[in-house]
Amino acid sequence: MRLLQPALLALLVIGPACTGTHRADRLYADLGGSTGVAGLVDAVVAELHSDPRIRHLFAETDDAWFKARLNEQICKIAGGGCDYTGLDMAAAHSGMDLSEAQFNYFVEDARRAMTRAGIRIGAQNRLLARLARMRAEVVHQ
Amino acid sequence: MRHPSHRNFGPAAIGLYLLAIMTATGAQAAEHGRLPATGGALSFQGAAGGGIVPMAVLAGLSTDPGSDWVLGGSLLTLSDFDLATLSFAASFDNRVEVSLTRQRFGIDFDLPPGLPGQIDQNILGAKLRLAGDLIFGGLPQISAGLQYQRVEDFELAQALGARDRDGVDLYVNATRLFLNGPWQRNFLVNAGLRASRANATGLLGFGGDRHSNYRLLGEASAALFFNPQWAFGLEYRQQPANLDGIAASDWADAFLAWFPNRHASLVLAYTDFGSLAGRSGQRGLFLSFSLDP
Repeated sequence: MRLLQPALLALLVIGPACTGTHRADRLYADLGGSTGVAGLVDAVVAELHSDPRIRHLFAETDDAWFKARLNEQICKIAGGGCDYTGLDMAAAHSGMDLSEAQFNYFVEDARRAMTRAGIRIGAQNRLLARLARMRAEVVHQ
Repeated sequence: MRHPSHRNFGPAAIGLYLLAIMTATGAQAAEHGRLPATGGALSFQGAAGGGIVPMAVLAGLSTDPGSDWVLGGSLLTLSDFDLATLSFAASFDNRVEVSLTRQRFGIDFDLPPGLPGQIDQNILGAKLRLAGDLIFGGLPQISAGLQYQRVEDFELAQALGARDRDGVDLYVNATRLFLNGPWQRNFLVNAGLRASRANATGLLGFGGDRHSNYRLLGEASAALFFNPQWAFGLEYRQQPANLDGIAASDWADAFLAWFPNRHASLVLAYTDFGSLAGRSGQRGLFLSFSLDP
């Protein structure tokens, strides 16, 4: 099976070239629009509160306020046309000194929430790729 | 010819190292907060990565500060050979990895008298993350590693023209996981360079009558995750032809990897090693597991 070498070469060259070439602003629709994102936000907050590794970080959080900001944030980065009215990410996490592990647990919970909310893998990955860009402003602030 | 299962599998050595490393570092206070599957599998030489090619990722899911350890093993069956491996690897602060591996290489055809049909090799490995991150930020994760290897049964290697029974490999790897890759799937790309004198990864000794110095060898792998638990990928690893008159093909495989949870991985691969130790058509199946308690 001498196909393996050319196949790997093709994967190595073409794969990264294909990354991020998505129809940018269909993501909001693929998340289910305003109804879908509201359901997703509920699922994320429920996951965070039931995760023993990081739920203490949200113990004092005003859930209604947090859900509204998270909804705006996801709507904005998914191309839903919302304005985000909260603090920027660096300011919002200032003084918390969140660890890389805590950030990762959030990502893991968000992934689980998206699956629970019925969002398809492709849309999950597109949203996570956009959220990932905020990491530098969240961790160790 | 002795069958691999007839001899003790060097558990004492691995157990002792395991104990030493665990007690020296107090791994009970470990935080292992990386994302699932980002420790990869344990390769057949012990370093974290895939099946036959290591990656820049470190074993387990350690984050800074924290440590994690992994136990892994693999079985490979080729037309005329088989290989069983057992590895222990630990990582600290997602910065340093150490690994210990015991390999048992079985030769499944009749050898001239005096040549043992079984070759044991020990591998002590270390890997350092130099820069970057697997997923986040602008730079892929870049790591450098070394492997000290020693073959216990040198007779066959010597008969084929190998110079030394031990050697050191040095390698550098860059690995990146694109969250939104082709088909909107997580896509992993890994490429590495290795300086090595090893014949068939050391199973046939180091250096040879045809070429005995270090050579620079390329290796690469890529994988597409259908979902966070399942990935399909390919690996390729260049092999040097150091032994006079003994063809050495590059190694390749196509694999399916399963990461059911944060604690386990299973890899099944179809391997094509081509010509190995003078025997052509060496294809077969490779199965590996890793456990991260």
